[in-house]
Amino acid sequence: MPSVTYLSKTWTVDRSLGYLRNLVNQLAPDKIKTLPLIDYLNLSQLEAAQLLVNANNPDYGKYLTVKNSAAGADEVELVVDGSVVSLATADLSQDATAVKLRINNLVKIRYTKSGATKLAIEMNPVEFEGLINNYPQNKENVYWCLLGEALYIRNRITGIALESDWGDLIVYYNRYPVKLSAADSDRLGDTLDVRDGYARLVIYKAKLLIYEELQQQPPEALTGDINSMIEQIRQATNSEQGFINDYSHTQMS
Amino acid sequence: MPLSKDWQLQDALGFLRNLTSQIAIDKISTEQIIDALHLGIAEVAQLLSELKFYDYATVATLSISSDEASISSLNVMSIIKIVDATNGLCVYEKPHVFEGLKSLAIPQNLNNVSWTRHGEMIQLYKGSLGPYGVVKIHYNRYPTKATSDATYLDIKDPFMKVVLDKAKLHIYEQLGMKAPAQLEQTINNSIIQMRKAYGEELTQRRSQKNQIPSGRR
Repeated sequence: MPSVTYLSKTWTVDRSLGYLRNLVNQLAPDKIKTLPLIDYLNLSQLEAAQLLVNANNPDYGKYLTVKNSAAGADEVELVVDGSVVSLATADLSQDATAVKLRINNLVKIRYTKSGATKLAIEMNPVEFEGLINNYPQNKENVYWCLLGEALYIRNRITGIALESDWGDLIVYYNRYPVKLSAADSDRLGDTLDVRDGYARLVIYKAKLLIYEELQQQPPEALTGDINSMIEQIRQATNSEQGFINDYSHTQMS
Repeated sequence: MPLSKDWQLQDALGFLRNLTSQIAIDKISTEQIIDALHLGIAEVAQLLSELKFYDYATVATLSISSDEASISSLNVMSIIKIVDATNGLCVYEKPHVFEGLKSLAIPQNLNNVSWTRHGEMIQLYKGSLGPYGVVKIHYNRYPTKATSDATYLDIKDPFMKVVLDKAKLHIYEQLGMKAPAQLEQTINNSIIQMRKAYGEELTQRRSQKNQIPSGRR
């Protein structure tokens, strides 16, 4: 069982499948047992999550800690390069308890040491190597770049002579949704891994896949609804961000 | 290690068999469906690599002999960077420029390790620098083909939909059948979205960097 809390509070797998079965029953009743409805739901959930992440929606935000002697959930071991103590890597494919980490993209990394915190700076792979030169303006910062599932970190803060001198790194990331299962009856009560406000989008997208599979033209109203929901996601996120900005400015003035 | 956390070969096969059972039952083997799936994964991986996503990034140590190293055993899709532990980042040069570096001993060319690629061979030039240190190549590898049911697919899960759509397209092609126009349109839309998302992410990252006070960069 993944260490993830599914986002929906009310929409269960069973209930969502019910909506899809209804449609198949109308379009092609003989296919009701053969169409992979749970896969349509999973693929739609992934698509919806990707839209939300691309629109900077924070629903799928999580964090993990990269540190020495990582042992718990959402902790990942920091592996310091043997010859260059200021250079370290971390394998972000799973945490210290061997639970898979479903990382879609990294949002930011915060470096913490002795109570002080600092934003670590992302570099592209080539820039990252350029830091090996001792440019003064690169000092007193922590830099990172992600290659595959390996996080490379370079610590340019003064006084990093031993592995124990490193602090911790809090890695903020967007995960992607967990794959839902209909094969096990115990899992039909799981909720969708999308916030309730977007459950309709997931179900409608799954309906679209049914039309595609049956090679039937979907009603214009369905595609229109999906497109307008996608547009709303973009606008909602922008307006939410605008609200936060307005509120912050009010508080500061 | 395969990139998917949740999708195994058997899941994708089950999904695609639904299509084959409708359009050409008994006319296509499991191996052909696996091929179609792998073609889809390879194409999406190639696109991601072109978009400068590093999902398939990995690292290996080069064995250098007479300023050359073979990469034939490495399954390289695209090279990200080459780093010499002693001399730092190696500088890529186009093949003709690389030859110029060697023949013109200009002082600024002598203080870097330069490299160029010719087929499966990496050629290096270190000017007047001392011996090479451990030289590592960071590259995007080609995805691994899944052949047994319980193997996870070598694609990140968010791209599963476009992979399955591409696999469907390949199945239609193998059967000599015309794919529905809607399927091709869906694939094109997915690719446009991926390119757009990459552009937005790049812009966002650049703007975040610009927000960091210059003294801290």
